[in-house]
Amino acid sequence: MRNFIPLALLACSLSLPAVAQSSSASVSAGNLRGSVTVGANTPLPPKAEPQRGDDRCDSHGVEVRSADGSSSASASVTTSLGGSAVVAGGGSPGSTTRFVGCEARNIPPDHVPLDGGRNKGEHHE
Amino acid sequence: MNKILIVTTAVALASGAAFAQGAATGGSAGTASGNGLSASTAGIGATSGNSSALAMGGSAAGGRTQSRAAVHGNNNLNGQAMAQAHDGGDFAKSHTVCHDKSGDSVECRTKTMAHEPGSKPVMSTTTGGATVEQ
Repeated sequence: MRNFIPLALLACSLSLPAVAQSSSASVSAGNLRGSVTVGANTPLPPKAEPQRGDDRCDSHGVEVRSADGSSSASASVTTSLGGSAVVAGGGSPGSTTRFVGCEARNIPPDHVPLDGGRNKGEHHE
Repeated sequence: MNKILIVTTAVALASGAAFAQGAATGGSAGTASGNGLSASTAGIGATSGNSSALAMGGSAAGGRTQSRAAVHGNNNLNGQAMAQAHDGGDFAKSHTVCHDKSGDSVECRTKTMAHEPGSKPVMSTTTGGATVEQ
């Protein structure tokens, strides 16, 4: 049996003013672990003081775990204010899908559809 | 006079493959950027025995942006994430597609492209995946 080979981790640095966004994902299956990350590393612009009713948000994430816990995958994305970001996840029947960050939506295990919580998201700016 | 673009394009890509008995993980990601626009997508999947999990994400910044991600399927999962940003004739976009075959393999592919008027588009494709060792 071949030994576990860690997934490559690559981060790209881009010097672009007014651009701040990144995407990353991590995964595990059995005893395997891995992750991928890309994006511009320009710091996010300072946020203005929160205003009443301000629902701006720049971080999205999703975590998927199979029913027996042997497989899991997660992805997270960030973007500067005014940008767009979205995540989606799904798994085999019985899996749980949990959203974190801006669109924190928890799907209780007993409400997970038989398709493992497949889903989709879309965002326009 | 044409403006000078910061052309850092379709560069970031990451892929990985891992092997172990009865399990596989794989993923890919990419970023396209230029002239104040940037778009990134990532996808990653895992399968072990009869279970599988797949997560996708995308983000875009600068100009007008659009991002979309979805996962479909039961045991065999298909996912895609798309992100793009454009401003006039400049655009950057990234697209990741993943196929997670339960108990068999995970394959992801990311394509990125950035373009400015008057220049050839710069494109990149990367794949990452693994097959369960039988």
